[in-house]
Amino acid sequence: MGQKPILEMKEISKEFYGNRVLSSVSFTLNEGQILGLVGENGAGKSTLMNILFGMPVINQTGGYSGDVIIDGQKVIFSSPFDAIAAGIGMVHQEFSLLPGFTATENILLNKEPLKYNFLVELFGSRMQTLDYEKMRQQAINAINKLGVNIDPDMLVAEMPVGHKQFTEIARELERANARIIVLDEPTAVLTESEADILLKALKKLAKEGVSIIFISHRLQEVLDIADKIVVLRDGKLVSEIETSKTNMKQVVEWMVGHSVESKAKDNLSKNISDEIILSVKNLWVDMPGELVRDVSFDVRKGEILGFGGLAGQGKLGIPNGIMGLFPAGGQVIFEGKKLELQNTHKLIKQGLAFVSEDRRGVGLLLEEPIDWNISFTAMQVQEKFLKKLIKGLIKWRNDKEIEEIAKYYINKFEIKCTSTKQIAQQLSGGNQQKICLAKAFVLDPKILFVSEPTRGIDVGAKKLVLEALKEYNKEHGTTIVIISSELEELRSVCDRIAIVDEGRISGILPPTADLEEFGMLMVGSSKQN
Amino acid sequence: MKKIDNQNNLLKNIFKSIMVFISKYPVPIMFIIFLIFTVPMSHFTVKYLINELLTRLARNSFLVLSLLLPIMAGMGINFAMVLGAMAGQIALILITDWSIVGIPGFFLAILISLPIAILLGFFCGYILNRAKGREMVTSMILGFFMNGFYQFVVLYMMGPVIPIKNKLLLLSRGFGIRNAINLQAIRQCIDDFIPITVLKTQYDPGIKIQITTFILIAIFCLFIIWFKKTKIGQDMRAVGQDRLIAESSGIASDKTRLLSIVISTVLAAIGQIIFLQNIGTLSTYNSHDQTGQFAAASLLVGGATVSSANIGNVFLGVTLFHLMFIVSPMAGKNILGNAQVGEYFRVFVSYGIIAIALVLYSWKRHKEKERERMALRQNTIAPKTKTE
Amino acid sequence: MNSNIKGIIVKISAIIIYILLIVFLYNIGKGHTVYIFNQKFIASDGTEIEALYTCKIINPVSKSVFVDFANLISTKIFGKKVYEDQVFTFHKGVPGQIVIPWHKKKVVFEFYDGKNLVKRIEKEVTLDPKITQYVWQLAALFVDNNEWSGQYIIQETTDTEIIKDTEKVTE
Repeated sequence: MGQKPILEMKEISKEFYGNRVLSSVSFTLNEGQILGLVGENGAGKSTLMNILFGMPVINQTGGYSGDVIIDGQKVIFSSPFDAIAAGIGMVHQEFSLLPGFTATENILLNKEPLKYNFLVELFGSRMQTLDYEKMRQQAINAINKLGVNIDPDMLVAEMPVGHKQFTEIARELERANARIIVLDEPTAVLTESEADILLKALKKLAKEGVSIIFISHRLQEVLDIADKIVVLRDGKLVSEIETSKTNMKQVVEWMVGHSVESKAKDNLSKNISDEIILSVKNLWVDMPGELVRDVSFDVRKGEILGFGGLAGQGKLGIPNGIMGLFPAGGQVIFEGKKLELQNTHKLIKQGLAFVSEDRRGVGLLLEEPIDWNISFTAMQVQEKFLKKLIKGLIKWRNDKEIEEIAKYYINKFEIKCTSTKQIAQQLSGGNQQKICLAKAFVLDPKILFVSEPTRGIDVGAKKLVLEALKEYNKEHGTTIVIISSELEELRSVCDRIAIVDEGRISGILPPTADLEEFGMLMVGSSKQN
Repeated sequence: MKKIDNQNNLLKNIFKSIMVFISKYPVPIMFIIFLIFTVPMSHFTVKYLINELLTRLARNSFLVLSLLLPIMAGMGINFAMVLGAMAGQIALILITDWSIVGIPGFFLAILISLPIAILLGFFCGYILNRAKGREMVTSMILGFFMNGFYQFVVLYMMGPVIPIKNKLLLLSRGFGIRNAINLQAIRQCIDDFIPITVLKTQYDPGIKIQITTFILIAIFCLFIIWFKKTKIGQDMRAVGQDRLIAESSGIASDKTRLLSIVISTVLAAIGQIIFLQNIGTLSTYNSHDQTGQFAAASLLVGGATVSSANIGNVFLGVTLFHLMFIVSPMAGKNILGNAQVGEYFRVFVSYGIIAIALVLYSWKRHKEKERERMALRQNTIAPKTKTE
Repeated sequence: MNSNIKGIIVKISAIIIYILLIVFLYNIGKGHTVYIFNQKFIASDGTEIEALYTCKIINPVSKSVFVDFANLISTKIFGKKVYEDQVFTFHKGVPGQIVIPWHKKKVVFEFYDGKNLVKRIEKEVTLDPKITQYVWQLAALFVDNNEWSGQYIIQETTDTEIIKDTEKVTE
């Protein structure tokens, strides 16, 4: 491990449309050093790496300030190809391998050794034929550099996931003749033994002089192999320290921050019955990006239960799966009766309601007016707002009632609009969210799932939404399940908070627990069911 | 007890692999079953069938082969190969006008069609590159559109703008090409170049084998196999599997796709010339009508899919598809007393096969994606649980 | 940029070869189109004989440099000349058309019924550069088709008035 820095990121700052995502982040990386980059989602890790790798999204949104310095020279990458030419390789979470090609062909994609033939003069250099022997040898060399056991002639489509990961890394090694490799959550899809092999391989690479930036939320792994750790929080560098000089607890604290004052709610006086209104056992949900593998929990009647955790770990999958928006399975018992998970209509009828995190896609009829949006679901499922004629044979829409209920909620939630007839699409994000909430309240549900209730709305609206939920719970006794990425929000509203990590519940804590405890659950340091 | 168990297991395994095989190649198997019933019904002799089949194989294989490269490059079935056919036909009109005879005429037609086909191929490829994701439909519509352009050239420009010396080729009004042109000049010139007829008896013309044509086809198959080993071939395969990944590795995907279409169009031109040389008559406005559909249907019947096709599919497909062609009218006549039914059946089957193959393929892909995601979900691990 | 120059040279030579090939093929292959109508013959005993099924054209005279060149090569490779006797076969019921390479001066028609030679016509033809074809319309006779019965001789269209030919008919 050399002592001179091969990479230095100096005072990197980045804004996205006025939103400051990175503030003056600086760190160095030496040759043959493994750097673990940790932080909650939204802390800026991905953006930082996108800057390093020259991803077009950075340039398209106004570039960045600060310097990227490689081997003592300032560099500016305007495309990933520049980064590759400088010797940086990036292994993303989703594999970018060609399934119909062998490992060899993938590893040497577009870098194949070629043999000359006469037709080249006529038709150009691409008429050269592939030198299969040389290809195979080069691929084997790359694989050996990793110290793993992959069959160079196996089709990627037939490989186990771990081998795919290794093939991808081998490709990056070959491609960039890489001196720096960035790995983004590489162990997320690996089995335990595969993860072990990967970590060993990375250590071997480092010994041979390749520098590695390792992004993972699995702190234990990071602590195991990284030489130094960089912690980001809210776009700022919290700490850059050698692994030997720190421990997990400290790192978690850096990640989630100090619980300076307990912002936990003052509802210790609330009486929560022991009656279980919803019992979930072994739930799995196939929601791309938020897979739920095996989740079990009980919800007590009248409580506000929160679900937190890092993005992509599965918390959003839970309500989406239960309410039938994505394929799901498992056993869910509501008020003693087993639920038919995929039958959304029935579920709503039975008293479950869901405010989706996808406001514009799922939550609203964008081209319809406010009053329609608020009353639509209730009208469809519970037949509210309808005038029944001829003993219910003809159902007529009761526009007056619809108008009244719209006016009520516009008032109550302070929805800024021109009239009850304004088209939902024209409202701001915060107001749209309020409409979604109103729509759910109108249903008068027994249990309400709310997913990311305050995402993308301003501070004032945030407060209002949370208050509305608290109040509804207090007045009507409705059980509420809130899923949110913002821990503080959950701590201020919930009676209990469950943390979801890697598609499972890693623990349930009271809101008064320390931030660090939450942090530990998020990084998978302890598991309870 | 164990022995019976083993036997049961063996049977189960055999059954399972049969089911897997059927699900992998539904279309050819459907066809084979259909043929098993209709071939005997047609009362044709085996000799006759073999003779007809060989003729049709020689005639059509090249055209179907031209579809291989675009499929490899991920552009689906290139229905715009008919543009190449049109180029070949224009070349044939010209050499008939110039009265060029025999094999020189054949090769001259190919040489002349080359620049036209390359130009049309570039045009077509350029448009298909701007219709990513909808290449097949676009190529189909492009084929229809260019038909109009072709008719403009042949019906209006030939005579006044493109000099035609042979008055007999022209319509009675003085310009524009006649409906049917006799290609006597080059009729079967390639086929008969090395005339080989087997099993000839006094009363039986025997089985004619068009050796030269098959040699040409074989040369082309070798070309395809070699082409796959070139860098361009590898790039095409990469682009065909995942355009974005190929691009992010630095492969010029647009250029590669364009090239596949150009080559396909040129090959279609040559294929159409071979086709017409065998038939002997050029139906100026109709010969290219069903070229795309029939070639596509043949390929799909041979077990190819929209995203993967190989040389075996080509020959199997042409055999099965054209066997159906040969057999349907007589089978229709013998079963239902009406030969016309057989005719209807041909067209119905050729379009129907394309539709079924496309639907089946899309359904299979959907199932595969689901299965992949199920696998991803079952792949669960517990992270390390060391606590401080 | 040695390789660049090499590339340009190769590309230019390819184009030149292409053009040369076209010229070569054009010249070798150029011919006259001859359409042949059906013939009905009166045999010596008065019976009418059906139209023919095969028509053989024999002409040993060759005139062109290209043809000689091609013949030379083919003799070397295959051992026989490539431009010699040509047999054109007509199927009953199909309008026939034959193309006679322009360099041939004498055309011989032999009409067969089965294996018997029924009629033999020798035509000497002078090439007029303004005329690109002779047109003798000859189509096969449908046995049942009364329209085509009657006597026909080899006819020429008005286009070909200028052509001088001597016709020797043997039976």
